[in-house]
Amino acid sequence: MVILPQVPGALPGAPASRPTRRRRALLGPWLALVAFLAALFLAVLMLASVSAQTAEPLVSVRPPEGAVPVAPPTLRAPGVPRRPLGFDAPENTLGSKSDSDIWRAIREGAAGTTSAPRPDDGMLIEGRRPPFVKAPRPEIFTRPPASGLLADFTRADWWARIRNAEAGLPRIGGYFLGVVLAVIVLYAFIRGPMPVEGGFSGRRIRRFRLSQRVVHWSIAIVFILMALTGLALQLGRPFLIPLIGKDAFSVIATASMQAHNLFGPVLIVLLVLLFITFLPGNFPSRADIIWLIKGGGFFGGHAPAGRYNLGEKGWFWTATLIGALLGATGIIMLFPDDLGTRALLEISVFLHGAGALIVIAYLMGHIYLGTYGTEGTFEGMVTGCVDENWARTHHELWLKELEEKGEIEECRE
Amino acid sequence: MSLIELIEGPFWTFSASLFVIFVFWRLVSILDLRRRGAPPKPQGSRLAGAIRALVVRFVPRSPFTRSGRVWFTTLAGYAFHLGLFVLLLAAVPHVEFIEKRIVALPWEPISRTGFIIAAEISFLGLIMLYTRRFVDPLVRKISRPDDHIASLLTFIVMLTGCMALGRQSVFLRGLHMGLVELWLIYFPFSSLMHTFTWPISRLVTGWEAGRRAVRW
Repeated sequence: MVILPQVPGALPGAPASRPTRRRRALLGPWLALVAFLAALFLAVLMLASVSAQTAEPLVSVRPPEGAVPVAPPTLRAPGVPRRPLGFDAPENTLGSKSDSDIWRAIREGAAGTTSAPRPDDGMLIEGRRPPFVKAPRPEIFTRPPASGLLADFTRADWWARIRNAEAGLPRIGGYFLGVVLAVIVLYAFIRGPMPVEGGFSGRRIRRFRLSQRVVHWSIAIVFILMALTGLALQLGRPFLIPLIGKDAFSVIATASMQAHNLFGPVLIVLLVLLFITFLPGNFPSRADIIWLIKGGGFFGGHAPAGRYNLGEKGWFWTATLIGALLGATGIIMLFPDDLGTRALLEISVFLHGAGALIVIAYLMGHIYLGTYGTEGTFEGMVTGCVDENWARTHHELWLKELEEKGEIEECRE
Repeated sequence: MSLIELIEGPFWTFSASLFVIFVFWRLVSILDLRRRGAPPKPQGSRLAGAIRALVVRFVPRSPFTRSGRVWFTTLAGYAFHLGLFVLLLAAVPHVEFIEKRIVALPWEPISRTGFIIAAEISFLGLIMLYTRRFVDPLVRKISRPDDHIASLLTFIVMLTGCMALGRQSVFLRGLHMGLVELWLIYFPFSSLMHTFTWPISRLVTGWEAGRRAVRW
């Protein structure tokens, strides 16, 4: 078998003659210059033509001049409504009632009609407390609504407070992540990176296979992308709008939503691959209890561990189980009309947001420990090889097991 | 003239012109590298060798079919490239743009669901191939800056395209379009040229192998 180079010009026995090379050497820059000028010329022509033309009218929400205003559709049902609207406006007019009356009626569960076929679709916001919330306890849920009557506490109130940018999940989630970040920074400031006991030996052993590294870094890219876009969507109202304004946030929000929706299924596939490739070694063991008692070595001392320590196992199962939850709730949110009721959608939105906060918090700790926080760890996940003393420091039981079985694979450049 | 008008007007023309001119120039330069002088007497069929190489190389060679790494590269490569071509040539915004600015296409654009599936397959392939580029020691060592730039630029172009999918923001459309134009300018001078050179490479190498009566 003859292996030939892929570049046709580099075929054996085909060197260009000296004049040909010289010709090409002379011709190349000229051709480049001509091409550049031609492109520039076309661009100038285009510039001139665009300048001469009136710009295309932008799509506007304003009605065209002379348009006859059409009254908004009434909320009043043609048949008997489930709950009276409380106002008697004639059809197709707003009547004498103010907007606030209408919105209050909607909030209290006023029913109307739409052209949509499903029975609940006539109700803009349901006025029942979801079945899984028996008695609202947290302050943000129990603060009396504007009317002052707890009896008026409706599902709409519950939902509005969960989503409330000032006191709901977005702001609480932002504070939660801020506290986690502060703890990590404080720990890094006080303790610094965890050193390798005895220093690096120079003997490197195999820890991760290529497939594990590819899956790890692929999921890392997608996970971080999902986290950033998800945080922009969840925390944007309380934290981004005051900084960048509503117009800029609207751009970030639409971009984040599209990317988040698109990469969600990619993340699900990668989570399945992560589960398959990293499952061996991630089951609980007795050594985990000792590791936990010794504080994982985070506050000094030596904490022996197997192939993975309890913290890594916790991260694996958190990513797997909450990842599955995020995947399931995310799919419901992607297809709300096909896969669930309004109540299920609300639960999904809540669980998706809360679960994501937990995973992101864990991810922040994982990134810290995998980079600055532990010497020699980052290299292990890039090259697949770790220093022998690193393995003895952090995964002593795993190293002993390999030595006993004679399964140590030494890495060589 | 606003920035978006500049990006969608003169800068598009400029980058597309550079793309066409320099791709053509590079292809001509490569084809001009043919062997000079009288070739030795053929020992086998050159045409059969060329066609064989063109067709057979779509799948891994037989000695490597038991290698997981080879199948990973092959499948991820197909996923990325096929997904990308579906996005490029059949997505609704692209079909509309091509028909408005270049030529009417003889096919219908794909549905939104089809677009999303193609994008996800393509992204999955690209991300896994790119991560392999820096975690596989061998591939990392043979990678040049151009390989990283080409991969990242392609990724960013695809990502901004998907972010602009809602078609609600002129800024996002302009961002995607501007990056596409940078990509077009970079294309002829980079490894992205393999889009056009792979069949030439296979045909010429197969032709040469056929002439020597070697089963390549």
